[in-house]
This record gives sequence, structure tokens and C-alpha cells, in this order.
Amino acid sequence: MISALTQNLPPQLSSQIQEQYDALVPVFRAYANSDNDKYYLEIRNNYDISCFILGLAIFYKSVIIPLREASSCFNDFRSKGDIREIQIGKYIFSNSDERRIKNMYNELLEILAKYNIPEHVLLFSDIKDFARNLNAYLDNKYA
Amino acid sequence: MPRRKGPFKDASILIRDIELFLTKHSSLFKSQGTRISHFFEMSCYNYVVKFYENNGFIVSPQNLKVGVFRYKISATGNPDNFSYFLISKNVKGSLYEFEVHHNLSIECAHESDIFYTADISVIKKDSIERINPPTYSARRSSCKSVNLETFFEVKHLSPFPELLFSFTGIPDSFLTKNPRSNIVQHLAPSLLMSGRANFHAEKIKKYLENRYGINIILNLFGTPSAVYSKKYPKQKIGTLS
Repeated sequence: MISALTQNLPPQLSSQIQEQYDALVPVFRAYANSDNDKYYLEIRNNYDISCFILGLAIFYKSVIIPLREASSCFNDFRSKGDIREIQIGKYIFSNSDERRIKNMYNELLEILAKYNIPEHVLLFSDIKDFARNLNAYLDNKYA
Repeated sequence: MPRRKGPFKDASILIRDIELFLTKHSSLFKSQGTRISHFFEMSCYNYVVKFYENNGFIVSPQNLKVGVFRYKISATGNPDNFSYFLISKNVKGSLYEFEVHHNLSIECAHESDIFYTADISVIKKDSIERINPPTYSARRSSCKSVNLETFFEVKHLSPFPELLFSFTGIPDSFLTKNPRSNIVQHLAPSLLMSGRANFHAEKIKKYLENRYGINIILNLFGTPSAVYSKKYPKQKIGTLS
């Protein structure tokens, strides 16, 4: 399922995300299969989609948030003096980049809102944290 | 009692929505995906500048090229060819002026002709020197430790013990600690990271901050304001006198 998230990324970034996912899935599976129903029952019952959300979370942290922050940084720079564009290496980051990122980010927020996926579930610190937060979220939805 | 329908009764709808989203924005991800780590570093640079703005400094971009801020993305290159921010503050009739640079070489405080490139550094105004050190075959621009007010190391990673502990050696080698005065204060040398801490990393962070007077600021994607907002307490150091 992770390939859907990585197929349009540059190879290096794509393999970084794939590697993170591959490293986390066995641990995530172990939590899902544990007999600790209090914390992991719902991810066991929704295992495939839980794995997809794990991939989405890695993608969100690795790609979406840095882009959002670049757009926000561009805005801040423009408010200081006469800056119109930012040159990063040979690339010129301009208004049109900012607009495209903003549109993309807002669309993703709409999707997350449609499924009530809270941002804190995606911004996890470790896999146990993610498994428990996702389980609590799923559990809430069924409560 | 039967359960109500969950959000993922038909999980395929979420997956389809995400796939459509990814397809629609594929060219954006392809083109900008190669610059992700630069974006993170640049954002951190922006947070540091914001810290000074929030503390009463006037911030002005320098060395623009027809409205273009030229961000230095690597250790190589002459700083004269890149942009930076000048920050200034008038305190009791004295004007304090510093420059906020990115990827600038700093000379060791204890040994001449050895250098470290700080991701972000705050230095005294006009203190970059063009030198020809015997340890390098090419001329290079650097700043002496006595002109380095503070610096920041940026890592687009989750915190892990080896990295957290290894940061503590850098201030010891590159920061001139005395004499400093508290008339103007800077953030103490800081490690800025995108990842969130687990319980262990959080404990290490607190220990290192207390022991070394540094900042380890984590989860910057979750709370970028942790760098610049007064709401988050941080270690500070006075200005070099």
C-alpha cells in the first residue's frame, strides 16, 4: 500500500519513506497481534487500513509538513523588506510554488477532516505511540 | 449492542481519495521532493530570525540579488554571494548589530585553522574573514569563535541518544563563553530537530539542557513556535562583550 504514496516522489525520498515503513511495520504488526486488547484491538480489526494510515503518517511528516513550512517561510521572508523570491541552489522558489503548496495542503486537510483523522495521530514520535493513538481514534469512532 | 459504523467501514474510499490527491499533485511532489531537507533547514533559519523579531530586534535582509534572497545550501561557497539577515536592537543608547547566517564556517575556539560549519550562526556584524588556512588548499570564508554569538544545528530526523549526546561537544569547541553580558540575550546553542521525542529522548534532552546550558528543541513540525515563542522556556546566553 505504501507504493501509492511513494510512486510520485524522487527516488531518494521515496526509498527513505519505504525504508521507514518497512522498519516500522513488523513492530506495528506485533502490537496489532498482541493480546493487549485495551490498546490494540481496533488496529487488529482494521489492520490493512491502519497500515495505510501508518504510511500516510510517514508521508505526512516527511513530505507534506516540510512543504507547508517552506511555504510559510517564503511568506515570512516576503514580509521582511524587498524579498520577492528565494533562491535555493539553482532553483528559484516563487509565488507560484507557494500557491501550489497551499492548494495541495488545503486539499489534504479536507480529506483528513472528511475522515476525522486528527493531525496528532500522524505526527507520532514512535510506533507504539502511533499504534495507541490510532487505536484510540478508531475506538472513539466506534464508541 | 451493535456498533455504530466506523469511519473506515469502506476503507477503500479513503485510499481512493488519497490516491486521487497524490495523482493530482504528483508534479509538485516530483519537483519539490528533492529539496525537502533544504526546506527544513530554511524553515529553521526562519524560526531563528523570528526569535529575534519577537525580542525587539529589527530584521533586514542583506545582499539580495534583485529581490531574490539567495539561500546558501552547503558549506562550500563564498558568503559574499549569498543573502543573510542583519538584526539590530538599540539598548540604552547602544546599538547591537548581528548577522544571522546559514552554513558558515566557524573557527575553533581553542585551535586555529580548524573549522566547523554551523547550519545557522549568529555572529557580530562584519566579522566574516576571507582567509587562506594551511589546513585547506583553497581560500575560505569563516568567522572566528570570538565573534560567534550562538549557533544552531539542524537535523531533519527523530531524536536518538547518540545524536543528542554528540551535539554537546560542539559548543565546547566552538563557542567562546566569556566574557559575555546579559544586556542582549541570544538563544543558547541549540539542536533543532523535526522528530518528536519518546520518553527516553525527552529525559536525555532535559538532562543535557540542564547540564550543558544548551537547547534541544524537538518536534519542530508539530510546534515550530518552540524556537521563537516566549511561551516555551529556553536556555539563553548573553552577548559577547
